Amino acid sequence: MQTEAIRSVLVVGGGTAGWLTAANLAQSFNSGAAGAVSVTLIESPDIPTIGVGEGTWPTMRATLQKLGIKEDDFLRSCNATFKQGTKFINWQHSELPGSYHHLFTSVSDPTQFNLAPYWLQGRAGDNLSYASAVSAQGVIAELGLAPKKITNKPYEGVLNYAYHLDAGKFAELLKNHAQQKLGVQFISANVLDVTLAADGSIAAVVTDTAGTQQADFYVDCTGFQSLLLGKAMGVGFRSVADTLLADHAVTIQVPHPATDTPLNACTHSTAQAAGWIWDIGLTNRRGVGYVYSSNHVSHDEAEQTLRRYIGPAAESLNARKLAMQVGYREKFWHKNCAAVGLSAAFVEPLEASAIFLIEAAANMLADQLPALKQNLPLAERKFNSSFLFRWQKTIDFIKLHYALSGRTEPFWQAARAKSLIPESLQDLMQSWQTQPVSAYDFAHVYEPFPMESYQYVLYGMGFKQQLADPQRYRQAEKAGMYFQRVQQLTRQLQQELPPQRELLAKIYQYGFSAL
Amino acid sequence: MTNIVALDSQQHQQHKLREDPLFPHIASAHILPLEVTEFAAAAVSFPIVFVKDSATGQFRACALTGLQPGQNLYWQPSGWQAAYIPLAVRNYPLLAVQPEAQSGDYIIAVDADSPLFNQHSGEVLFAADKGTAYLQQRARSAIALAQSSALTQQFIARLLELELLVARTLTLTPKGAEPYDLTGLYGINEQRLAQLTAEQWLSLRANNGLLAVHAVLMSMSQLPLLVGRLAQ
Repeated sequence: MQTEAIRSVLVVGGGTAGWLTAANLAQSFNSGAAGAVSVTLIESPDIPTIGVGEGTWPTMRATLQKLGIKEDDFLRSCNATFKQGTKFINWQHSELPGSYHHLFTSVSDPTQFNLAPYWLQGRAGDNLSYASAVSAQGVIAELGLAPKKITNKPYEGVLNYAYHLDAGKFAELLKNHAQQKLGVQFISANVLDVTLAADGSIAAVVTDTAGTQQADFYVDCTGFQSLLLGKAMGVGFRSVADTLLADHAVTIQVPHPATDTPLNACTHSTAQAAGWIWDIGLTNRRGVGYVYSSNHVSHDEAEQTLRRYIGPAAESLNARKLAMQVGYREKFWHKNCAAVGLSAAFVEPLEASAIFLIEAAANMLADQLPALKQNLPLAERKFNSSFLFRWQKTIDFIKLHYALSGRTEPFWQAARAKSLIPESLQDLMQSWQTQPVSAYDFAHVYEPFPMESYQYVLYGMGFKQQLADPQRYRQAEKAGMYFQRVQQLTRQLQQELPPQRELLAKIYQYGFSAL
Repeated sequence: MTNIVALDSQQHQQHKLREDPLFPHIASAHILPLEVTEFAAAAVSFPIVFVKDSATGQFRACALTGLQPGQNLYWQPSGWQAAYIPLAVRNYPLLAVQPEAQSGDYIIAVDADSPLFNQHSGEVLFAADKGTAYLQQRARSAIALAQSSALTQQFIARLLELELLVARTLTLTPKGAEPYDLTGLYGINEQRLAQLTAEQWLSLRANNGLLAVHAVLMSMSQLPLLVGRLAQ
């Protein structure tokens, strides 16, 4: 039995996680071809998707390209816009307004040549923020310009970029594409029960209208319910509610007042008394939500805060409240089942980690799912250690935003209490007080957030770094050339890059040339 | 700058159209639009390349007439230096536009900023609210050009389908100056052409596509001659 082959995969649950995973697996296994490993997705016609993950990382471009989806089709069908980073507003102080950018493009990859010591020495000029010293993208995003031109190839950018997208429409696009082009089989039915074999592996999934479904391998994409991995197999949930205090979100979708309302070119994240508000611009509407700690603010007050943020436009709009289980499963893969998406883990959407970690899990699953059952245990160990690392580092990175804040409300004071900061993060922060952020701080290949992300946040939040040995940084001339290049690019790209809407209109009309 | 307006028998009653065999409007154009129907004739004079239109991102065919923006090596104050003159150059400042795709109707428009279009010298355009014979003859050739433009778009779409276009960068080393790259040019991928199936190959025959493909390939022999002009 142990030498049996894995010939079929059943993905339970649709949504972004289910369809991205099914599409990726089917593409990788060539499931459309006769005799290939089959990929089936079963989705409930009754359970709505959560659909609040509407910001991606630049990795999404490679993912869509791998799946064979055309960029113009994707943009058009998902009301998608270009995202060039996140603008953090009022994160540093409660009273003093201020903002900084976490961007996707830097003039120099800091793991190759780190400009930060020279910026600290004032070589980029006084009063220039770190982000503006090392990247033209902040100014471009502030002006609402696109990261590319109509003459660029699909998925090619003048500046690095990700997307804002309508998660419901995105799942719909993937659903059609996965069935029509990639050979995913689709079953619409409700799961009534999950049965286990004697060894504790999943034996079958019992449905209301499609009988009992069996497969050699199962992927649990059932959201917070975690029907397979959590409920049936009993894999425990490790809450990180003591580290990340926000436990609820209230969201409102705000239609744009006009079809030519300018679009933000990055996600806005604005700090509030007991959390923060995300603001994501799609072509037809904004998605706005307040992530808050119910220990520090009542649900009503949170909703009022969100409505005040939106202004008069919020009056006629419905708000939706969500409880968030913050944390991760003790294992992400157990025997013949792996969990992807909310069923595996969830943290507040501060750095758009949700979709990005779905992509990562689907990629690793597509690569590591063995052809023979006998190799399952090793794949399971690798997958679990990899994703435990990725989730812990994601939690560290989100915590960093809170740890650096000087805001004075009780929520913020509680959020940066030293006892709640993971030790791994405390060590790094301590070393960064006197020495630069280093590539060796991120030596793991599957580090979810790169060195430059940490730098944007650290310096953006006004982290006090006093380099202990300034003598070491002797390449001031080289650094100066980079800083000049950024200023030159900033001027040049302002002239060259079109406003987001203008580019999107051209894409709808002409599409990108495939070449 | 150009200022394209529709010709109007009322508004432009007093206007005349002059021809200038020196074509001053292209004195600094390093590419000139070509239509597929012109390739065979143009190939003996210039390299034929494909570029992306900066406004639409769509490919169009062009004669390469200079080695950097702002440079036209075929243009001299004494006269045009090539055997062939592209149709769009000859038609200027007139062009035919189709207000609704597929309607078959064309509007004749003019670059109102062109000195060729003026009130004091040239051929009369309207007499008694009607286009003159001269205007009608110019309008016919503008419409013919617009019609070939549709063929060109079909031809380019076919090249893209067959993956026959490939990006080409020309590295140029002018005497006594730093080498530089001329980017944004696309040509025909000869390797890919050789790999076409018999069926794909035959599909290119429609609208004389095979002739056009080979005209583009043969026009590449004009490239060293173009570079040579720089030295003169």
